[in-house]
Amino acid sequence: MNLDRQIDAMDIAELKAELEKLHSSSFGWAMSCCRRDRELAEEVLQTVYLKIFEGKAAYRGEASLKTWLFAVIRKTVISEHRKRLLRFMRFSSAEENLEAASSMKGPAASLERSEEQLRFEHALKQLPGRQREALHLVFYEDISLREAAEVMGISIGSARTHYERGKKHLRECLAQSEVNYGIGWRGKENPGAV
Amino acid sequence: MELVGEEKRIQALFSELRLEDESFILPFAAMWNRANLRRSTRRPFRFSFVSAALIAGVAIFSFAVMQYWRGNQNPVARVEENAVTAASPIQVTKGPEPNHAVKEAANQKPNSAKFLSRRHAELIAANKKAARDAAAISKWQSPTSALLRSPNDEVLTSLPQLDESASELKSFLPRTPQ
Repeated sequence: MNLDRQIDAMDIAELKAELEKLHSSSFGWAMSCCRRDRELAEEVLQTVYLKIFEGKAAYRGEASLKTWLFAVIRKTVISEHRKRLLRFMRFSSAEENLEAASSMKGPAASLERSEEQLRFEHALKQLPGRQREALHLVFYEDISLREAAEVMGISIGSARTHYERGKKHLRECLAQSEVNYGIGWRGKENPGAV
Repeated sequence: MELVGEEKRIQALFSELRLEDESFILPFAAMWNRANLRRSTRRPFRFSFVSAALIAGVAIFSFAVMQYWRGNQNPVARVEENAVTAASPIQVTKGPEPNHAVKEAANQKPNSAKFLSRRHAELIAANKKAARDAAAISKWQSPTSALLRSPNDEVLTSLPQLDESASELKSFLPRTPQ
């Protein structure tokens, strides 16, 4: 019994150390899944840590820890969205408040960020969820399409399709917002993405 | 993965986004501690407590239903039953010194008997009134019923009998000119 407890404690300590290494990536992924809603991303990440701590989400070594963790985050975000959908009225008012708050702090924050970056974030928000996820996993997290497919719970073919469509859609969105990337966006496609 | 053209551009934008995220990210320890705090504040699900509460709820509900059902039973039968019990003589033991409980019972029973007999009388009066009303309704006649009478009412309302004579039966036949 004591030995089991020691092993559990050791496992949790090890897992905690690994999670700490992946913390910034996890937060970035949570931000992407929550459509850049920082408060929601923090709440989701806390819930994920709680799940791991309570043993509700157990890592069995079937995939890399990062892939497993990202899949847990993604599922938690989905369940959180479902909960929020149920209390839709409250959520909508909260979202309005959030938007109002962000608009209040907007000018100061936007001074720090470039116009290019703001347009990019806006374009990202316009992308469908799967496409945004595929692009985020490949470009932000720097993982292969195969791992991205595992995180998203789809086949690699579907992941590749979302990736390509996401790039195309992003290019169109940025062009619509009159970003001066005309030359850059007409670059060659990358055939060896995987 | 080798990136070319637009992909490098996208990656540059994502890198910038990452830097921005890292600027306001909460430290891991803080988030982990918050998660632990949430865990400690969360109430654990106690199956025994929930099952006990459920059983108590069912018991209260069934008791309420039983009371309601008993309240809706035939009041006539109940009152008559009570009246019979009330009519029976109260037996008070005439011991040397009757105890306090027996005295209280002897004081309370006449009140309940009086109440029951009054209820019984009220019920009988209500029944009599209902019978009178029913009789009045059966005797009632419409003021325009006289207008509906005709000389042939007797023929229309009577039927020939099997053992009647032929001459009497002729009265039911239509009169045909000869």
